[in-house]
Amino acid sequence: MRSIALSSPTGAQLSCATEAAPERETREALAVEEVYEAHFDFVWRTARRLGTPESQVDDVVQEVFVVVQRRLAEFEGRSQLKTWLFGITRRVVLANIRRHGRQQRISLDELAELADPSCQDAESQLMADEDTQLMYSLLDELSADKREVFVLAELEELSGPAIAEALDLQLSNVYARIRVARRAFAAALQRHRLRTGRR
Amino acid sequence: MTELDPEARALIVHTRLRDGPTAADRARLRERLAPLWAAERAAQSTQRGLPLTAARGRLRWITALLLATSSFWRSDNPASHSPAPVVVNVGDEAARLPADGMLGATAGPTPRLEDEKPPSVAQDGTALQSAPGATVASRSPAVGSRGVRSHQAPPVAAAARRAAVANRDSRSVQPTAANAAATRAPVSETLAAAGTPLASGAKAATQAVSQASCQSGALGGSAGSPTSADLLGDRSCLHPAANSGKGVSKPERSVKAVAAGLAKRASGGSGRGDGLTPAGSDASAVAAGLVAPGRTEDIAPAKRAHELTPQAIDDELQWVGAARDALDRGQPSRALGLVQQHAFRYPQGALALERRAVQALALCALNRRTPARSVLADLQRLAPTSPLVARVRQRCEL
Repeated sequence: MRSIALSSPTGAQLSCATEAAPERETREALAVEEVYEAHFDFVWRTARRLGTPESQVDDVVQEVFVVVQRRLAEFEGRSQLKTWLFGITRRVVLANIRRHGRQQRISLDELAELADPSCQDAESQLMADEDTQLMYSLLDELSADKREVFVLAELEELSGPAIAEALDLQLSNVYARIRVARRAFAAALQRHRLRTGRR
Repeated sequence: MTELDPEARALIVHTRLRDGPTAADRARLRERLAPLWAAERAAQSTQRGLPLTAARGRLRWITALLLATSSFWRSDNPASHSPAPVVVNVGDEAARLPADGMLGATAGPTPRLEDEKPPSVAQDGTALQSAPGATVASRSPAVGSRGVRSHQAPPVAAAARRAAVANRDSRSVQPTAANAAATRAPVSETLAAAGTPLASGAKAATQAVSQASCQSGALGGSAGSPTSADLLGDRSCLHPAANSGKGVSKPERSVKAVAAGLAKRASGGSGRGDGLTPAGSDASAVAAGLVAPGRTEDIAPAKRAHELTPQAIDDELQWVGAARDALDRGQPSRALGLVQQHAFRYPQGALALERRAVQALALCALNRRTPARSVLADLQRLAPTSPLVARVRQRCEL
């Protein structure tokens, strides 16, 4: 059970305990398949959370790992592999958005089609998907820089230094952006409540 | 420090815990990536080898792909038949390419990389050899070139080349000297820069044989074919023009003879299309006049303005052809991966329409109808009168 990061990420909070890959593999020891198995979830989540529509996430993730294979020899281990992967994912996502533009958020009717038919509790799954879709909708309302730092800080629970490395920012700037991103997210949630009549 | 309210916190926690890929997502992407990784490794290892060795390896790979496509094509087209095999000289060895397009599938030696000797060539870089009616002589192209062995290139390859060159000059229907020079120059420069004499014979041979193959095979697809062959099979193969015969070198004359011989044995004549170009025109210039119906007029001029070198076209053929093959083997996920690679490299490539068609079919096969509709809409927007649209709609029942 993960702890909820209620304070600013000043501590050494490592993220994603579900992924067991070592953080600083040597170049010789890395194979793209190993990177894939260790970090697929992270790349997939990041691609989605940075704005890739669900219908395109497969393509984006695939492209990321193709780039990873090509550039794996360049990874010298001076940074964390995850931050390196985040940089690639981020660029691929941006390129994809430029190519396809931003898609309309899918309707709840379409969401119902996507529900796993094998799930016995389809309604609860649908509700869970609604919450996830709500999160994505709120993230869509953030600007790109706020979105990135919010995803890394709140959803991926990366540490401040790791975020600074991933986004190539000064550490002080990271904390400032986190504050601004939280404020923007809260405002987006408040607007959603007003639209839906909830307070 | 800005704090988030409990509801925001709950939403964040929920997303952390519930949002993520499934095991099926992981497996699906792995399946799509495996061939791409393998191809990249092969490309990287090829590039690290000797230039001539790498060129031969790449040439063999491209040839195998095109031959496989050719075989696939013919198997779905009842109007086609198997012309006589084409004998190609690579260096000092002759590789007999079987009529069924499967390299190595029939009797006859297949040259192995380690067995090849430095070719004995004339000063112009061509090894000349002739055989009655069915022999084409060509030299392996140099590093970085995409010259293809003379063989029965598939109609898609021929149509793609024609469309690609047509796109370069969409206003030109009749071949012109300018088109010939413009088309031939990049190949010449590439091969010359690589230190190998120009294999003009190879290029002309390829196109001539492609044209003959087009006549024999591309007759509108077969009825009831469950695969994408009929999807891509109704490109009218316009009557090709062989070399002009004016000042051609020996290889080109041999190519002309081969093309004529194969054309005579081809069945049907509907591949003539509108017969834009007479026989005897320069092969590359003729390509400028070969326009598939309902193709270029549906595409905005801006989308045709991109680099259309033979190398790029061959590269596109690799991706789209492999995707189509994967789809027909019942591997739609792999097909999607391959078309995505093509889209990334050649978003407005010569085979952009075909790529979209294969993509839509693959999405339908995966029961992803919403994105399939989106791709079909894109395809329809780009080429509303293209038969690809109707075919995809029919196959996917969209």
